[in-house]
Amino acid sequence: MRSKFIYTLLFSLPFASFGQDTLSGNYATLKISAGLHLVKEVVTVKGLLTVEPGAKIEFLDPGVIVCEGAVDINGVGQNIEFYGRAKNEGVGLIIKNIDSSVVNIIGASFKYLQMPLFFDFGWKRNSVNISNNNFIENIGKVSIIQVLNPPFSFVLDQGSIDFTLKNNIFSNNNAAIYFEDLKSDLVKISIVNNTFAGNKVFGFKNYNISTNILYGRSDNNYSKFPSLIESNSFVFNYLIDNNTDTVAHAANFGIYGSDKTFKLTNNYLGASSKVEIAKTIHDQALNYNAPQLIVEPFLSTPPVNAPTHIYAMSTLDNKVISDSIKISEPLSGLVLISNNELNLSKSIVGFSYFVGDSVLRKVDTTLTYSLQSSGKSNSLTITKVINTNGKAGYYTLSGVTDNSGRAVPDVKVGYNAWLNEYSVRKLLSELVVVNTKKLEDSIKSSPKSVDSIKNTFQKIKEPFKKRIEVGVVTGGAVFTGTISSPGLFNNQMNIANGVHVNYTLFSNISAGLTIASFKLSNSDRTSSNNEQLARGMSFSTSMLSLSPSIHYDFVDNRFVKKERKIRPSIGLGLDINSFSPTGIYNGVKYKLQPLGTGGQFSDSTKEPYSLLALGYFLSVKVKYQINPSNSVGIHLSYHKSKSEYLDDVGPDEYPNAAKMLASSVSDPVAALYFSNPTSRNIKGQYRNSPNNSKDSYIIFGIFYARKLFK
Amino acid sequence: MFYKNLSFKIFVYLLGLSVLFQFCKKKEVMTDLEFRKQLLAGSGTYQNVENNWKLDSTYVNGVSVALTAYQKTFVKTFMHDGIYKDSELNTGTWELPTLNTLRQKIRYSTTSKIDSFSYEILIINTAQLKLKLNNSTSQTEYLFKIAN
Repeated sequence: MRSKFIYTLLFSLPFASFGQDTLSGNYATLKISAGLHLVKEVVTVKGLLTVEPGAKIEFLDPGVIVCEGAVDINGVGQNIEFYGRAKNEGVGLIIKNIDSSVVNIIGASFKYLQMPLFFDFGWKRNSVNISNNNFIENIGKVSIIQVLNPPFSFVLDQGSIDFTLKNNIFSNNNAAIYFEDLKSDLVKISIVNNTFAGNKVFGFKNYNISTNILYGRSDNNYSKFPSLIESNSFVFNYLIDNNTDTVAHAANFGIYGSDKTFKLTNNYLGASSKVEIAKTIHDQALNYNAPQLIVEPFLSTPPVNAPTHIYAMSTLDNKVISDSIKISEPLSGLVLISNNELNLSKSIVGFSYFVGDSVLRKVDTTLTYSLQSSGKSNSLTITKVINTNGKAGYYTLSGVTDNSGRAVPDVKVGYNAWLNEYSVRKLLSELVVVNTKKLEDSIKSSPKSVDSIKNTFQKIKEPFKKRIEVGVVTGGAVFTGTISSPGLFNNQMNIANGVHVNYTLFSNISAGLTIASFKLSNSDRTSSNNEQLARGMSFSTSMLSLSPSIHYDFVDNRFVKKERKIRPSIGLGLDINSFSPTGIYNGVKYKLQPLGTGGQFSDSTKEPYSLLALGYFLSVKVKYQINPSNSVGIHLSYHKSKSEYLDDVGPDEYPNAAKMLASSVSDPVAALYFSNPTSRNIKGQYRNSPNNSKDSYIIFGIFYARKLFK
Repeated sequence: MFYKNLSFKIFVYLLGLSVLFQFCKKKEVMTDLEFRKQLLAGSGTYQNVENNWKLDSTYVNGVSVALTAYQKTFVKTFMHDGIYKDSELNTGTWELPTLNTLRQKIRYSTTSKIDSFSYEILIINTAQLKLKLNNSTSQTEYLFKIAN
């Protein structure tokens, strides 16, 4: 009996030591001591929430701790951990309710959470201090920290809230830090000595205020306390396009509101020139309704008081590595520049690269290296040789700490370019329905976006010149205006030639410009309409047209695949036509406009028509893509002119013969003939119906197009 | 210089097709004589099978002759198929052997006598027709105006 008791006691000890405490329900106060704790539902703490050093709190969706009173989280060296469980990440902490207490969140680590800290609308405390924390790799795409306003009824006699965000690391997160008001009568915000490094803010490709790692509003009323945002470092923060998972823009700081200016001085904004800094902020320069960000004076290197991080890299021969570098051939080494000394004793250098041409197969390797440290500069000479066969790859440096043991944000080299390659390969793999290939993929495709906005027209990453295609067009032109037969094939056809330039705007949209030279001619004599037969008119005109257009391509024009060699498209555009109708009288060719065949020169109330006409057209094309550079195809377009006189026959009454003969034109007899070639009894009649008198024509044919640059 | 032979072949095909398009064009060819016939008697198409020419003035040896009201109602009708008729119910045929010559055979309605004339065409256009009749004693010019 005694031995059984001892065995039971010994057997249960490990569970007592390593077991986890599940938090649930409502607590008047809650003290979370060192050890593992689990939050998998809404836990409400009405009073003081205390978290002691060594506590590890795991959040499972929809786990969240709602704090309605004081918060006292006080760790040592970020040894309090709030983290989400992989693939089932919980939310984080919500601060709400009005309470005359303080919120201290110090020395903690927030990882893999949906929204680590949320100050809900109507919250109020005496002060908030968020210092010395690590916010790393949080997965939520809404906010890392979201601070909404205290209640409006909270007036000045109750004092203001000191809100301090100091010496924190924000690294490799998927969302921004948002303050509803960065300038207000209620909250004194101080954001100093923080490091914002390597964060990805997810959105669409349009860079805006909210797609920055830190953003908020600054109005010129209720603005007693401007924010103090100083001595922070912003590096490698980017807007990521949700559709393609590629870098769309640098994304450090965004401001909006009715204020004229907003101070963002004495920060390191990822660059040492104002021009480069301007590319990372969203202010009045991009939205004239927003305040202007005052960034000068700015720091040319990150402050030493900010948490340690790597802010620049170069090759071993001191060539600066830009954030857009594409690594097709492995580097011999890296030089890391940081704001403080690094501890690389446990660091790992990884290299990932694609295998094959068109599949999502990636190889991850760990590299060996030798280290040469020199203060804030560390040279890593890579000693392991890799053959990537020219495929894109990127380096990952992880496991770095500072001299106090605090984590240093991971850095990636060549990752932005790799993402572009990944995006293309992902799209290709979706297009190719070959199951066997899918088995080879080692990268799991990300789940389909749940965004309600379906973005059909995806951004093109190719440079300007690669999007240009030029071509020659030839075929026929058939006039279908006033002097034409209802039966299309009864009309005269003339040759049409042109040159065409096409520019790919988006995945399915392209713009074009065509210059075409052709002739239009027709005669009433070939018409199947008796009225036109009786009228007996004919004309011929040379046309020179300049036609800008826009096309919707039914096939994604970024890729050339065997399955997609036939590429239909539809388009619309404008025509600017130069024309001059002519006719033959007694074997002599006459320009008709100067003769005023509609009575333009025999009737003082009329004016000659313009020989320049605007118009519009609709077109259909089917292109056959021979190879990535060359294509041929057929095209058909229907053009409607804004002029009624392409054929010289407008909606004019037949002019009086006597007046015509007496007019001052060069050849009144010819003018008279062209005005009424069949000498019909024309009293009160019109040469052309005033209704629907606008002229039109059809151009069709074939084309050859070629991309000039590969 | 083309990138590949393939591209050059395509260019040649396109050129060939382009020429083909040119030959597909419907062309309208009309001689001067045919054109003059159309001025005189219409094109022969719908509602244009004849032209009516009303006498406007007459000149004998270059001197204007005053016309009576009845004479001013005289109308010559040339039909596209070569038939002639006028307002005095005379009938006959017409032809244009040359650009400036109009030959007529007229069968008078009152006497059934058949006579031939050869006019010189001085003016013809869509509104006016001026004919000159030469004989041994005088030169007579008739100016007609269209009266369709």
